[in-house]
Amino acid sequence: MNERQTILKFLLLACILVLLAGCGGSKETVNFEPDPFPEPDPVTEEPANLNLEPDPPKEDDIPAKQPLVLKTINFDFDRSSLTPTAKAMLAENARQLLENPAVSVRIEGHCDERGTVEYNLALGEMRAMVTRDYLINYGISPNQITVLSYGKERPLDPRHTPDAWDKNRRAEFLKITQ
Amino acid sequence: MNISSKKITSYLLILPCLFFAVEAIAQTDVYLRVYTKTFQRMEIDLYNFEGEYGNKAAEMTDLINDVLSNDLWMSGYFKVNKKSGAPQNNKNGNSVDTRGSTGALAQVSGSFNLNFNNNRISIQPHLIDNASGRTIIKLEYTNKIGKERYLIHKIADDIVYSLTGEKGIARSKVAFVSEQSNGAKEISVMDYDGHNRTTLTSNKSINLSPAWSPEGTQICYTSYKTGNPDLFVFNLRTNSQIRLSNRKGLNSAPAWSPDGAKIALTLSKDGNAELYILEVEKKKIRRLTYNRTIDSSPTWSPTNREIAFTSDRSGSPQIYIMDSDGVNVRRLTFEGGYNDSPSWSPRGDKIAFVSRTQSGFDIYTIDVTGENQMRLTDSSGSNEDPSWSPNGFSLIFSSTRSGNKRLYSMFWDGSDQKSLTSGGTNYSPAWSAQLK
Repeated sequence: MNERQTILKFLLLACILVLLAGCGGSKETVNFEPDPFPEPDPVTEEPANLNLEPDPPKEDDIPAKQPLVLKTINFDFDRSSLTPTAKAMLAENARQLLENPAVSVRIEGHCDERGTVEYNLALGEMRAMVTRDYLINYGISPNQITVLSYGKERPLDPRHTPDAWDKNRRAEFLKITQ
Repeated sequence: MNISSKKITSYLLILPCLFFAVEAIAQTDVYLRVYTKTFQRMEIDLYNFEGEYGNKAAEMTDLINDVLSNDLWMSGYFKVNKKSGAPQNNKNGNSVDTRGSTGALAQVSGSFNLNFNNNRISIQPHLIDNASGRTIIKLEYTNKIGKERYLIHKIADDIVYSLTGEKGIARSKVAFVSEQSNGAKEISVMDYDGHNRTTLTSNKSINLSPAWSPEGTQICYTSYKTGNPDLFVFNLRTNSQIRLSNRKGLNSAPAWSPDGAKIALTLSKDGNAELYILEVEKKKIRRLTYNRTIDSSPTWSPTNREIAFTSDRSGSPQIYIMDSDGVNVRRLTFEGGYNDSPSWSPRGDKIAFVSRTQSGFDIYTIDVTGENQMRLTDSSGSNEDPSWSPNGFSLIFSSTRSGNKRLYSMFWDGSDQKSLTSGGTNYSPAWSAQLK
């Protein structure tokens, strides 16, 4: 009888401890990032249609106003879809743009040299449009954004190496002063 | 005394051509023989032209030899034998029957002189048909001093026409994109053999995709000079430009219809790159493609009835053909994962295009039926932007085989590939129709 009681007490204590550990212990805030469903592979995809909106920033989290730094994002070969890295950067860009609704940006789409002149004008434009649409889904006003393609005509790195090609496949942000 | 060479040429050429057509049955449909593997070029003996040109007579003789030989070679029909000594005719220039003394079809000789009083150069060619011994051309061609190359090109074209019944290409031109030292990309023009280069635009911006009007007096192109890729037309007669389309997004990849009435182009104003037709006179547009993929790079068949273009609707860029109102789309290329830059031969039977390889692009041709795909370049650098000569026997293209992007010409079977530019960066060539 005594043994069983001891075991039961022990089990009860263990349960209580587990419950205590399980609930309400952590005080960290969780930053939830929207996770859109994966995008199709072909070059000719439609822009991602996000159904999830990011949580509005909590009171504690609004940082002091920083100078606007909009990062260039890169693309995979022959693709206009956004990589996970690109999405993370765009999330950051979007945050800054939301804080600066008076700033207009032009998204400029570029390609590396390994396609024809004319096809790359269109591919560069798709890259800029996909980028724009991602930002609009973040809540950026369409009026804040214009797009422009330079195809393969304005490489960042004029060399003919894979390194240069990686850099050249990009969407850049240009601030337009009103 | 200046003779209007055009009137006399046309008058004198009609008679011998009719006569010649009866005599030389082999000339019928001679262009078809060019495409056969057993085709052998017809030989022409070329004798030194002699005459007065200040103290530069020898240079003039050499110039005529070089330009005439190249023009006759590039016509696709002939091979020139350089002959030393005097031609076999008497002093008065009367024809002498040279049958049996040479294997050549014809002989060319002649003279030249300067007229300093009115600043004109005169060249007098003498073309004799060897089989009959008859004179086919014996004329005086004149023009301003400085226009010697043009005169020789005209003589070559008249020789080609009188011997084959077809227009020569020696007076045709090539428009192309030329990178400048300040980084700008300007539209330039040169003779089909690489001489007489001039820059047309000077807006210090990016200018792309030149496309000739069929009569050769205008060039349509895309320019970023106003900030957006808009469509412009450069008039070579007046040296002026007008803006033809500044719709939102791309106004790119223009292609002028052979009848001159329409320009096919790519617009992205409706959300993505689609093909449209722009009526040149009324400026109205009509949409041809309706899909969410890239449609670009149109090229017209010489009948005006069909357009070949690039589309990635299948998942990768491939060449398609459709009627010029947008219906009856069918796919042309099925080999390779990236086929682009179609160019329809003025003869109507073949389409040149590029196919991507490990090292860049190579140039292919395919019959419009989809058969006889033929590879023309061999992975030497990246070879792009093919454009047909007006007689459908040659192509001009850009290649990086020497390091920088240069313009090259070659024949329809890939033979005789030679560079027309050397320094700088030049691409996107467009070969005009035969000009006057």
